[in-house]
Amino acid sequence: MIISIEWLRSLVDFDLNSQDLADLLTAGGTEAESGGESILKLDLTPNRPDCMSHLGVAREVSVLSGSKLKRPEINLSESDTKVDDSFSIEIANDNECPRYAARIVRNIKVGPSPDWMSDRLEAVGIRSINNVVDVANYVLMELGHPLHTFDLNLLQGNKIVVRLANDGEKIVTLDDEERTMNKNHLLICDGEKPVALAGIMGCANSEVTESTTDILIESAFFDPITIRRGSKSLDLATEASKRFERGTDFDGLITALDRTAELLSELAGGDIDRGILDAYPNKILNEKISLQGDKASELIGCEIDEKFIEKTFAALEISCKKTKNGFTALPPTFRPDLKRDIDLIEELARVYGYETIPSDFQYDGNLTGIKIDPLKHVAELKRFLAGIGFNEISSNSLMNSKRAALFDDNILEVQNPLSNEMSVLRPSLLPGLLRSIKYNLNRSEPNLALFEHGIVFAADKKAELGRVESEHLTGIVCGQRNPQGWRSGDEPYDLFYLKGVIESLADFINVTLTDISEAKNSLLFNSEQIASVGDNVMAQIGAIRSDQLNEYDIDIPLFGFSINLDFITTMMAETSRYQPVPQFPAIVRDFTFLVANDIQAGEIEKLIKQKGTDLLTKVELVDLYAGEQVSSDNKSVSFRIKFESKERTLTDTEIDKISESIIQVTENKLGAKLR
Amino acid sequence: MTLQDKINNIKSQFADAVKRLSLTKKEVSDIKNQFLGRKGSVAELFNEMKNLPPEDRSHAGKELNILKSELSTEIDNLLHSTADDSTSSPESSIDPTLPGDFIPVGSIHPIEKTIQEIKNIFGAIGFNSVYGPEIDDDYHNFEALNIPHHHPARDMQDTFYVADDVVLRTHTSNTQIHVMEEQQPPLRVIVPGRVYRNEAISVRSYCLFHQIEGLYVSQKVTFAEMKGTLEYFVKSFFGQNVKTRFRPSYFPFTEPSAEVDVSCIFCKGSGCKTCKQTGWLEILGCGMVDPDVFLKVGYDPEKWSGYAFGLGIERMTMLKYGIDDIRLFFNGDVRFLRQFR
Repeated sequence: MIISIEWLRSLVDFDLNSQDLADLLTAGGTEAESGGESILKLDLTPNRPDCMSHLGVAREVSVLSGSKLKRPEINLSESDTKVDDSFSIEIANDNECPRYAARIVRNIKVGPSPDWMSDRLEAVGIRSINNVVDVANYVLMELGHPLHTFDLNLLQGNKIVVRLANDGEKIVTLDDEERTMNKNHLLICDGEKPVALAGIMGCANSEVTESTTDILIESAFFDPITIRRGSKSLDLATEASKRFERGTDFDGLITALDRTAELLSELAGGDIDRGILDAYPNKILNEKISLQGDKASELIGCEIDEKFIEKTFAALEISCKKTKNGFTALPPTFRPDLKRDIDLIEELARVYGYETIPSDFQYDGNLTGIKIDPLKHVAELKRFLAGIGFNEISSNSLMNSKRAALFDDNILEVQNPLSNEMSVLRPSLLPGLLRSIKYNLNRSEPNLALFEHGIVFAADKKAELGRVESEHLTGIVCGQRNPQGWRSGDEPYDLFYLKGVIESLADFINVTLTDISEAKNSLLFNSEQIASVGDNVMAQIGAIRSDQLNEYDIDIPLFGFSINLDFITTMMAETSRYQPVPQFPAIVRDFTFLVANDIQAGEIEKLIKQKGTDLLTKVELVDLYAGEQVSSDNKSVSFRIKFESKERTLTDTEIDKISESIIQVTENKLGAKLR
Repeated sequence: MTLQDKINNIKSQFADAVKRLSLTKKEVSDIKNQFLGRKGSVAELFNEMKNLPPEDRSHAGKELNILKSELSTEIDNLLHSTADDSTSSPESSIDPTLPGDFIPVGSIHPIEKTIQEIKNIFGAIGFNSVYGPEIDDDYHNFEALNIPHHHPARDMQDTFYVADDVVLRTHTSNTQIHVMEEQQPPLRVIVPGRVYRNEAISVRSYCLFHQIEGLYVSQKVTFAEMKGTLEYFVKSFFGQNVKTRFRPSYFPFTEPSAEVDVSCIFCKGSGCKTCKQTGWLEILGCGMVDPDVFLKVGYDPEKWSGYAFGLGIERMTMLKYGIDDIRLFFNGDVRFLRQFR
């Protein structure tokens, strides 16, 4: 909202330039920015409709600076024609319209406004139209209460009826739009037809024109929720609706009405009918609030004395009476936000000045509720991955529905998406990773190791709120791990690299993988392998499916992993007990087997472990060879096997015996020959 | 081979070994070991003496001693004349300008780094980290926080819906309610997490971002304590010289409410583009928990009081590192990410 400093000066004295004035208001809670020497730009919070006018802002200046508020004086001279002789008001729905007041001004002459008025309006961004429209806008900007003017001669039946609309009823508003009503919209009607959409906009059929001579001025109080609902459902917000939905002054509306009539007759030369049409079936009573004496000081944390409270309340126009243990306060009708003692305490705190309130930094040391961060271990895990070269990414949870369907069937949709590209919630972290891979490939970054940790979503009718949220940690690799190496050959980011990552991760969290092998049904990846510890899946690794690669227009193979966060963080939370360092030297033996090409290394390893007895502590595959040195249907596989005992020094003889049985079993079962 | 042949052999091998001009001290001492060491070739010949007939042994001994002293003298001379090891390496044939092995270093996302840092700052004064759902019902995201249907405050946050009354949370404040429903005071928590706003994507705004919510509930908690705590936080995060400013504001679920500004970390408060010439940057909202919120979760507002605050992680991170485009956080550009180790 824009405030004219010249206009404001007519309502309150201050000796501040526009910047200092903005600072004063901001420190008091009305965020203001200087827009040059002549205007202020206000960023108002929805709890302060009273500041949506020059008088309201002037009151703030008066409260914060201590200078006197100068209300506009209203001198009204009425004619002998009694207003209620010729016109009446009926309220059919008094919950939606608790009060409707009107005056009639006759024999006016529509014409241009004087400069002082059009200048002020233009300073706050309102175009001058004619003296009638301008007066209504002027009073709106001056006092904050929305008014509406009808051409009296276009109203039929000599009455106003305020009623809820019928479903499907059509009206044409001032902007020449035909609008369809529902039964929650409130209408202002004459004896025959709707003439305004209450609190939002008038209808074209009763608009003031050049030829208008008699005017009905409306000044009403509408239920904020009714107006807001109407404005939302029509997507039509106006200066009037913004004020009505926040709450207007149900007493002050009479002042606004008088002020409008006064200015109209002054500027357009009309005669004001005697009296006010005031339909006000149930008087609204502002509730008294009791404030305990020391509650403000206790909550704010410093002494707020009675003198300060009385002075502040007076400036805010809160009438208050001292009681035995505090105050009884009656807030003014223009402050719908003041209902409870805490609301009054806020007023005291902000006028006292947040900057004046001292800082207090002490803790009672009651830390009984302290719990360990559930993501503590995830943070360690992220450090582990970053330590071996992965970059953590953070990607959009909203995505395209067609793409999402490639990753899961139960896609959770957004009802009101920003665009097709963001119409569903991600069912997996893979799409975000793939998008990032493509983004980087396009920017000549071919070697990538990325991971993301976050929530993924699935639609599930049976679940609470129809959705399941799961926490995932997923990664993708692409290209070469060591592209510039002059000492070694290619080290591709591939399935075996990821297998190594999972194996190191197992070491890192101190578990022994019991199995890492091809999955029976690969769901997540192609050539999927599952790493498990006993019955628990620790991770899945594999190649990214080609339909997914195609969707992201990626034409190189990519490999990914997904880890079971629950299992891993549970294991990380366990303290592994100390194992005594071996006292006796280990014996290491190398075995090179010649086997048929179709024998898998894993089969040999399994047999070695079976025959290795308790003394076997480690089996490593150290070489794999196929080529000139062996026949074409064979390969040679070398293992390094370590034997250790906790109790004694091992003898060559006993290891020889174990070796012999390993050699025998691999030969019998797999036809392996020792080279 | 006679003994004399063997002695001559050793002499010629020795001559070969010392022929190169620029021997290092280490190389000389290796040569010394090779010939004169305990298991060196001269010692070997001494050993072989026991195989000679007794009558030949004294002559052989003499010859061998001469050999030993000749070699010792030469080695001593060499040791004197060679340069210090440091000037030339034993592997001087290798090009030392070749690069070291490439060892990839990954990175932690800047948002995660900020979250970790803030968790540490509040963890030090006893705040637990807790987490809440990203999809929640209207009640926890709005109603229980004093934002009923048709309240103008709903305009402050454009909301994504996945079903009627089921929203993508617009703030981490939903978790305040969950925490208070599950626990009795006193409590002290922070809630990091992802939140969503139905806003077009631009340099300054994105359809989602991260927040950290804080909540402290105890007896006789004051606004002054909230000030002290948040000042501690601001100084810990931005540095001891940064000033804070509290000014009144409005949030439906706190009363009194405040907005906290810090003196601009770029221009030190003198006014620049980032702070729009005001010298101040808005960084967080806070306030005393509204008694109606306590009533909603079954806390007695006469007995308990507390404060809550919320801050945007992206904004804090952008200020801290001078990042000027919020979209950089979400497009996964490794040239950006690699700057945050």
